[in-house]
Amino acid sequence: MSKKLNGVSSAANGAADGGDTQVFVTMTVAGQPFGIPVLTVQDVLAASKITHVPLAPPEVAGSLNLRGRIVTSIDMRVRLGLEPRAADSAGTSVVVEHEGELYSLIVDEVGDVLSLPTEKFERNSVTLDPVWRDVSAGLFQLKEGLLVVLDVARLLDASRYEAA
Amino acid sequence: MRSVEGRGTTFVIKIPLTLAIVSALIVECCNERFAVPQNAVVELVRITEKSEHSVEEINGTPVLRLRNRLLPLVSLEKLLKLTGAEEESPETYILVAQVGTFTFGIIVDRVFDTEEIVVKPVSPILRHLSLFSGNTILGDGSVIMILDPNGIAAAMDAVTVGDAMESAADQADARNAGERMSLLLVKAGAGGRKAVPLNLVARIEEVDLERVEQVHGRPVIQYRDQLMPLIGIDGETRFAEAGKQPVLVFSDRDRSMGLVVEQIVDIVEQAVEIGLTGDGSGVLGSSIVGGEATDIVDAGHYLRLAFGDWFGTKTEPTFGEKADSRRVLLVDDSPFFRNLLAPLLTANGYRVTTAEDASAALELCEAGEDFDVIISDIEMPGMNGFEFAETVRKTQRWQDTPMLALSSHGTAKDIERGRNVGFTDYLTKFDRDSLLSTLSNTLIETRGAA
Repeated sequence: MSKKLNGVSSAANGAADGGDTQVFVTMTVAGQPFGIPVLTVQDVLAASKITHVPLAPPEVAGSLNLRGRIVTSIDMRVRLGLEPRAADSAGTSVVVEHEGELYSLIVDEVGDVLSLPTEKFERNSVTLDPVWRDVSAGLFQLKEGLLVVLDVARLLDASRYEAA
Repeated sequence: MRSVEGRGTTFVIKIPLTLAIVSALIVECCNERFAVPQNAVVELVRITEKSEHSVEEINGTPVLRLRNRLLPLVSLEKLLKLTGAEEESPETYILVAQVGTFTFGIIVDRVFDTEEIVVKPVSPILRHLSLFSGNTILGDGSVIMILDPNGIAAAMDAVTVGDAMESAADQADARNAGERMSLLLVKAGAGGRKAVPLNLVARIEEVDLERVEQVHGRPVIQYRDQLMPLIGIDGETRFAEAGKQPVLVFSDRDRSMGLVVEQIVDIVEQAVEIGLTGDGSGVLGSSIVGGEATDIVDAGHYLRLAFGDWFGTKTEPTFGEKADSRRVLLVDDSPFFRNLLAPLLTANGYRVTTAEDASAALELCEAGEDFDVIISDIEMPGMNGFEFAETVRKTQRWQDTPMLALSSHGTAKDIERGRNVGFTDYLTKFDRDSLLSTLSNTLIETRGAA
């Protein structure tokens, strides 16, 4: 296992809050495992009734009501530039909070909660697709494959929509 | 919380009222529901195949005839790019909304109930959508988007103008260069295309030629229990042999006249620059409209033609004053509006002097002219209307003369500013009836005060 860049990336990420491990909720989108720090995840929802928002950016699937709060739903497949989900699979939503607003990320499946050693966190490969590089904070090498850690703040950055 | 044994429990819940609660109308379009704040909705019109009102299209632009006015319409389906509409429904509804002085209709499929809703701001990633003012959760738990009538009004402008592929910069230029207005393009008479300012047209009717009768050798038609004279665009009346012919109806007070045209072509919105001034025979001048030279029709000329003997004498007895007691100074840089308004005012018994800009008007002041009322445009090159009003208020001679501001943009801010610099009242261009009533009210008020 090559760990040439480890020191740099974990320091830059600043994610190691005192401990040596970080806990991630894992999920898959089109077969690719992703991870989100467990503390940012509020909820995991089954498919629910979504109100379509006309004229919204394509990745915005709509809005839904989660216990009296309005949650904006983001289709991760569209956000990552992948093929849309098959019509028969409704997917699962992972609800995250960003700057006081709730967002649900529609993914294919939610997997386990993994505790991963901070020292194994690696920086993005430079050859990664620009869209992916933008939303990925870094990688973990797992036995099953590479786990991409999502940067929620970048994923939900509103300024990129205003410019469009 | 209080409990009485054997009786029950009382819960008292305090809810902060810091959240904005509005009454909203829930509408549906293409199976999607939207909320519209009720304070912006003036009325609802139900359209069925049998109903009195019907939506008509002029070159794909829908309009509604509603009580003598033409109401521009926008389809929510097209505006929001909605899809999945089921088969053509037998009835639609039109929400008549008002934003500032602009009234328009929004076409929707169904109208449900009103609900008291709590407006919640939309998520930051949706905040760039100007058509929505917020979203909320309805009583049944579903999320609904709240439409913003201001945003829709702004988008309507973009929809109609956008087709002509004009960028925002072009629009801004055009606004500075001339007044934007909606023109109704018709085909009539010699010389082909003519344009009529749409706001002057009360209605567009189709007249069955078999119903045309002759009175004193002039063609008339029975229209709403009155005889309405019909006039052709070149003074003579030329009818097709049979069938139906479109007629533009102009109304002034209780009288109407019909201008017979051959064909209604289109509605365009653009800045009007009068290139060549007409000779006063029904044409105000020529302008380039949609890339073609087009004559701009002087509606006032036809009104005079139809009711020539009535004009001039009509309003004078009602005031019981000398004719020279109602002198009007009209300041407007656009020859188009001077030519449009001056005959209208003259026809209603005012003595009109025109000035093409503020400095020409001030020269009249220097020369010792007196007027009973000054009507001034706001957007003028050189000294604008606000500066002109301030200057006039400083003069000895005209400091007490009532002033009316005339503008195509009647926003609340403009009106406020106009009042502050000394205008007595604010008028929107093209609105004939309110122009005349405000004018006479202003004169009556100042006389009463004097």
